Parts: sequence; C-alpha cells; structure tokens
Amino acid sequence: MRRLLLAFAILAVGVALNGCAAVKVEVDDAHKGYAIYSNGEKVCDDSRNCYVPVARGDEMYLEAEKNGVVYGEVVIHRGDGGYSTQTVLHRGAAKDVATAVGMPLGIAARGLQPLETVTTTTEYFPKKVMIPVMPPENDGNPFPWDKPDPSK
Amino acid sequence: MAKNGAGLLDNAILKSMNLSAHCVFMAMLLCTAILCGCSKVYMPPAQVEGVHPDYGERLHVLTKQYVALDDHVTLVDDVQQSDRKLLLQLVRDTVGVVVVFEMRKAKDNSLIWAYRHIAYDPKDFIPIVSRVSKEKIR
Repeated sequence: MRRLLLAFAILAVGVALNGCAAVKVEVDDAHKGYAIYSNGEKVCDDSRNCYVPVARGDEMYLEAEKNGVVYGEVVIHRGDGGYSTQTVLHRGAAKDVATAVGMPLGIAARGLQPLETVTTTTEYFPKKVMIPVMPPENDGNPFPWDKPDPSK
Repeated sequence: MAKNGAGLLDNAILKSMNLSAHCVFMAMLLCTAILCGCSKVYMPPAQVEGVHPDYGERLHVLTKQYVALDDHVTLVDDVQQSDRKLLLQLVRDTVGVVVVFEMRKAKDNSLIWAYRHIAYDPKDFIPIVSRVSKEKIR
C-alpha cells in the first residue's frame, strides 16, 4: 500500500512539475469545427474540444484547417506559459575518485564530497491558445483580387 | 645538369600534387553531392482561378526567391532535368484566395504532398511561402 501511495505521489509530482501537459486550443470562429495540426501532425478533428499534448521541442506550430485549407495558425514557445525553478542539494560526484582508488573506497569517498546546490529551470507552454481564423474586417471591403496588382 | 635534374623532379612533384589535389577536390564534390541529396525542382508559372494573373506572378517570384535560399533544392528551368515539380495555384474563395502548393514527381506526376492556405491579402503570401519553403519543399 505504501509503495502504491509512493508511486502515486511521484506521478503527481511529475505531473505538477510538467505543468500543462496539454494545451487547450480554440479558434475564434466558435460556430465551426476546425481540424487542428501541431507541427504538421493532425492532433484534433474538432477545435471545439481540443487538447493538444505539449511537444517535446521548444516550439509548437498550431494550424487550424477546414476542408483541406489552413485558415489560421499560431506559434507558441516553451516559456510562453511561464517557468519555475527548483533548487536541490546535491552531493558532489565521486566518479573520478572511484575510478582512481577503486569502487569501495570511491563509494566511501563520496561521503566526503562537498554538498552543492543545483538549480534547474522548467519552462512551460501556455495552457490555452486561440488561433485566429476569421478574415480581417477591412471596413467590409475584401481585397480586390480580380484587379491588377497596384504594387506592380 | 644536376640543377636541370632537380628542376624536373620539382616539376614532377608539383604535377603529382596537382593531380592529387584535383582528385581530392573531385572526391569532396562527389561526397557533398551524395550527402546533400539535393533535389532538382521545376516550378512552372502559377495558375489562377478568379484572380488577376499579377498575383500568380507575384506568388511565383516570391516562392522562387525563398526556394533559392535552400541549399538542398536546386531550381531548374526545364522539366526534363527535374526530379520534382512544384505547382502553384491561386483559387478565389468567398472570403479570400486559397494558395495551393502541390509537389509532384516529375517522372509520373504522382502527388508527394499538397498544402492549401487562405490568403485575405497579397501580404499574406510572405508568411505562407516562408512556412512552406521551410517545412515542406526540402
């Protein structure tokens, strides 16, 4: 029972440290469902209920697609959702000593190593992201695509 | 006489060094070509549907510029010399224009990948082409 509780506690701590293990992805067009892609992989069929697992890398390129056409995208980075730091006390490595004087003595020598603090920083992706898919307002006038390019 | 002999020897050494340098250079070039795995891409002019041809040309020029930056891809002017074809298309939609990219094999015209993205304004071409050239074309 204790082991089970310990395993559960370790799991809970892992989840807590990982922060948001999934990113809730929405689009600003609430009426229609868009498929969501993360770094080129389809992760949700419908944006109305979409939680995207966080990527292993530092960047997530999220796209909203409908009928085979991408209508919007957003790029998020690790750290956009904040960060946390953990500092732990750590006994200096006795590996070199162990190699030099033999394993039993090396292990004993480890106890003589000085204590040092190690600080690690964990950066998180944001918990929630909105992908803009609606056309710009442009004062009600869409771009005149059938007219010659004025910049030419 | 001895001076002449030494001169000939120097010449022979120089020639052999030149030959080995040439061989090394050719081997390096071959290795680079093998490691690089460069593909030859042919890009015909963009096709347009319900859009003025100026924008097709603009998309074509922009895509060429971005693809030219990629060392892994070589643009060729003749489809016969190419491994793949990158087809561009602009299709008018109710809210904007759908920018279509299709990569096909030059040999049998089979589709390798396709990507479609909405553009509401020609300014939208840049981020779309940038994304496609970075992630897909290679």
